[in-house]
Amino acid sequence: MLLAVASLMWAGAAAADDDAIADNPLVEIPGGPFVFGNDMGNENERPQHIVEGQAFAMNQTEITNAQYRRFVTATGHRTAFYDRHPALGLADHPVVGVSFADAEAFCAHYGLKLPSEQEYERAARGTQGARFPWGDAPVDAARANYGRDTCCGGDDITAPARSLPQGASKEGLLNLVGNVWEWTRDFYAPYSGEAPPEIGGKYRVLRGGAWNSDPARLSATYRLAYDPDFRFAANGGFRCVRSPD
Amino acid sequence: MRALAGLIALSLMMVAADGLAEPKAAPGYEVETVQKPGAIFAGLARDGDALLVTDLADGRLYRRTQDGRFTAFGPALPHGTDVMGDPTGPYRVERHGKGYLVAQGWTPADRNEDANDHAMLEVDERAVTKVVNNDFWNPYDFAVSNDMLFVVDAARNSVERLLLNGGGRTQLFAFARLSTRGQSLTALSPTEFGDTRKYEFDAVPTGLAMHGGRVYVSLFGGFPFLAGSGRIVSLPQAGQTSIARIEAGGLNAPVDVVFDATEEMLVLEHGTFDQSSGWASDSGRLLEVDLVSGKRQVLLDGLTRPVDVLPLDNGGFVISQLDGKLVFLRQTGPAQPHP
Repeated sequence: MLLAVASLMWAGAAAADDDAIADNPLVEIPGGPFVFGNDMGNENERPQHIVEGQAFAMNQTEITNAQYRRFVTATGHRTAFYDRHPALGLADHPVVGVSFADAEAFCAHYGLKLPSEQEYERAARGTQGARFPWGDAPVDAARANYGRDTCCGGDDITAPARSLPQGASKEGLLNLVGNVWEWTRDFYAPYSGEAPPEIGGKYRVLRGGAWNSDPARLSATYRLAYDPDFRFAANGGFRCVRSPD
Repeated sequence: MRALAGLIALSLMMVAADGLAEPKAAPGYEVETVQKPGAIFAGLARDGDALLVTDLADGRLYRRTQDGRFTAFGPALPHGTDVMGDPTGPYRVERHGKGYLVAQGWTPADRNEDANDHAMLEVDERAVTKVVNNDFWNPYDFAVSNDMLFVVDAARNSVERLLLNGGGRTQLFAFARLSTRGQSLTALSPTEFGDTRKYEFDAVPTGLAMHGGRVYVSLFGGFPFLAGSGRIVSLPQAGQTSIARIEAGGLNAPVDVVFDATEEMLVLEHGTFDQSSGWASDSGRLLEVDLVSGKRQVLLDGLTRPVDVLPLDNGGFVISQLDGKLVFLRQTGPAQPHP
């Protein structure tokens, strides 16, 4: 029953531009004030404050292998590192093994961008600063794909991008927490003040946690800063936004 | 086997592009490289005057005769890509009586499991004649001593000991995870590794050699494959121990360890891992390590994705690479290894 309700929520999500990426509509996220940051989280998630956001639209699901392959075919861009992996490369699973530049190039091909951290949080937390896309209820296996080991089952790593409807956001976006970390377009820096020189302008932020994340990293506010050139991540993917910024 | 925090890479043996340059030998040696197009070479062994080599590309065993020809023999064994994305198949082969012993890797991901997977097998010129034991996860290397078989299981992070008939199996040793300080990983991610805590990674035993009543094992070190995080350890061949003795440290992904006719220990380093481009071409090395002094010398540099090393009668060596190359290192005069 819950599954049926959640499925209806997807169908009811407002599609902003069905033509951008086939099978992965852009879902409108309205503008307005929302809670950003988390005073209860790590130091780099603070301070919690109110942001006046502009409307934007975000892919309903993480970009899949099938969608990424179409981009590769159209552009000649390099394939994802795990493109031929028997489990990670499944067509309807999120593409992994892509660098920041790979993800950025994919979005640009469709006239889109990677989300900013603010856009990600607005999509994943709503306006009131919920812990998770579904609200403040604790995470469980029906809502997010997380906490798995790398060894040795093999086919229980990523979940299909269009899965876990009980974990959908209010606007119907799926897997914003868990499944794969998602690149954002922001450099890693404190929310207030300057980044130290050894960090400033060097790292991009990923959000949302992944299939192997422990609960400490599985939140809508956890910030993962990583070398943007790293393209071997078996748990790093992305989705795109149409953004006014 | 909890993964490292943050992003992770899965594969140990991801196949990469060819090396860019010829390997460079120490003074007193010369190098010859031969290639079998399309091959993914792994295990090496001697068979009289011939060389045996396993090919993960087609699951076959090959005999390379002195005229340079490769001839397939034995059964076509399961091969392909395993669930981690690594090539799997017959990892190692050794002549054993009238037949051969083969260490057969993890089940290819696109096939149903059968009795020959993740197993020690006896084969003859045409077929598998006996499954010695298939209760392994990923048997990567083995050695025979008297009637005992010692098998390194790269996925189980252990060394297993059993009778050659497959019975009497015991776990000789299970390797704990290795650790590193967070600072050494800060360049990868300041949020995950930018403090003084220790982070663990799998030991990943790979090569195995018997010497002086001890079992020597190369610990490759799992992701993020930090330079210098690999080591060679040894265990008593008989009985049980709770501590592995560290014989050499600071190694770059050691994938095999052997002893030559002069009882010198040779270590084959797979290479260095770059977080943006993967295993660096031409970064593998063959080292000679003095067990007493700890002094090490580079015999061969500039290897690309090497996996096995075999001493030859003439004081030289042959090394297999995943790009289908065999690299022969031959002595041309008094050895003068460079440091």
